[in-house]
Amino acid sequence: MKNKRHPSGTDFPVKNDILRALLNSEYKHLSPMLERVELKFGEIIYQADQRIHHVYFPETAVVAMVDTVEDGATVEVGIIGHEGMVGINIFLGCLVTPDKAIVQISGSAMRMKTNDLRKELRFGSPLQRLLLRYTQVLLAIISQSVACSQHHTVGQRLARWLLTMHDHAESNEFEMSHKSIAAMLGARREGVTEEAVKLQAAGLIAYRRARIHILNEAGLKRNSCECYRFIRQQFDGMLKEVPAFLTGKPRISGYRTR
Amino acid sequence: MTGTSHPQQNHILDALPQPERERLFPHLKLVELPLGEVLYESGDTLRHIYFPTDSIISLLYVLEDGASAEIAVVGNDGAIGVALFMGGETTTNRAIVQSAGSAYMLAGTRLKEEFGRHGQMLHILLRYTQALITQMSQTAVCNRHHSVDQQLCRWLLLSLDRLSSAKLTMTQELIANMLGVRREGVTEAAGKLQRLGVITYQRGHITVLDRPRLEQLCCECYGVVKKETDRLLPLHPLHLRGEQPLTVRDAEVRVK
Repeated sequence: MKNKRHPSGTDFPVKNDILRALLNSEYKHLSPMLERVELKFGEIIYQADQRIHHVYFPETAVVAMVDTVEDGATVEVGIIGHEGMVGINIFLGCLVTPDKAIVQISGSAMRMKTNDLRKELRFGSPLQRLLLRYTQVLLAIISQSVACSQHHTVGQRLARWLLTMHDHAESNEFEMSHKSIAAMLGARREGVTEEAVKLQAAGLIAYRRARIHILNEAGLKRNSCECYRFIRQQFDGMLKEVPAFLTGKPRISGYRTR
Repeated sequence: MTGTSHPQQNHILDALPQPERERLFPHLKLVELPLGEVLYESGDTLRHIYFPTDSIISLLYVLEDGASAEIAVVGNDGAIGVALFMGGETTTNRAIVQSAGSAYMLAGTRLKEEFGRHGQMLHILLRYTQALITQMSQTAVCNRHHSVDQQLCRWLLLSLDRLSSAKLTMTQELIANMLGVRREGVTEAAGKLQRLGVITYQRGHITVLDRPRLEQLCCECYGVVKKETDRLLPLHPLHLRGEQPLTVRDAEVRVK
């Protein structure tokens, strides 16, 4: 694997929301087990059905979970950035992942050995509760992507996908080929190119040398299906609840009466 | 039906160790689930978890315009209401009975108590969640890349595995809703299967006549989901299958 230590080591503060949400004392305890790595665009960090050795908490990197069928056709079922963790399967008690994980935007991530993660998952610990809540967000997003892939047009889905990437990227431009977008959306490349040309003609994006520049976010939102908003709500909802997790009180809110 | 139901018909309940069965089974309530009953709507706060025995429940994602897509089918292999133990406020799915039958219902408060005892229940439900995630992602890729004919085969096989008979009570309109395709597409696909002698279709009843042929006609998606479900939720204790259970120390919650 091409990962290497980030030049600045672990000097700068952690930018992953799950790690940051942990109590200071919890984080200090975990930090010796965390290693900052640079992930490169296009790098495959998990192959389907292979044993997982590390989980990743992305910071500036963005990773897509991709499901593949036998003939190689793919569709993206979840985009994971600074708000999440790649390797939730480990948390759920598995050794392998059925999905492939591909880096979509180069950047840093904190990684942790799967054995260390297992040891840290004490019942009721803040880490366990955060990951449980994160699993719920992931379930919601995966189910949304099932409906989105069935009912929404390539144009809507392209706008949704660009907005999600833009939220994660640190600038208004990122590297991306039509071919890889088509693989993510499970659409034909020609279809993606056609829609990208429309967005470019409308002045919403500019596409130059395999880099996409986002010019008009509000315009993209108008072109996107509802799914972009839904994804945002799921993450915002989770982050809003973080203070409650930090009280250390085991709380399963489903039992509250409305 | 009620007379013959037993909690251990559900694979999750069956996978529990003896002491946990003894603790939990007295609190289970057997409920009859008629076709079309909605167990919960998207946005509802969950209060119960359901463990189907011979019923099948569809989890649907409902879009703003009312269009829906089936994201998973749950039967005796699983549980309805996994979001309940994850700490979020509400569910984003609709759970609707797709094949009438029974399920055992457990109050959320009991489930919470059980988690508090740090037993196997949470681990079993987490593994089931992984199986559910696999089914959902496979459905996404299948919808995108495989024909309605293949999707119908996948759907029939997944449903059959969760039933004790070869007969499904189901209208083509309902199937179309589940698969998120036009009804005409389902009629056409079902007609082909009928002509091949794989199924018969009469007044809302589908009977599968030739299961091996159905498996041949299906895309690989059925096999992927089945393999993962079998691997994650076997009918044997974890240690017998050469896989380590999640090690969780029963330590106190560390609070600052």
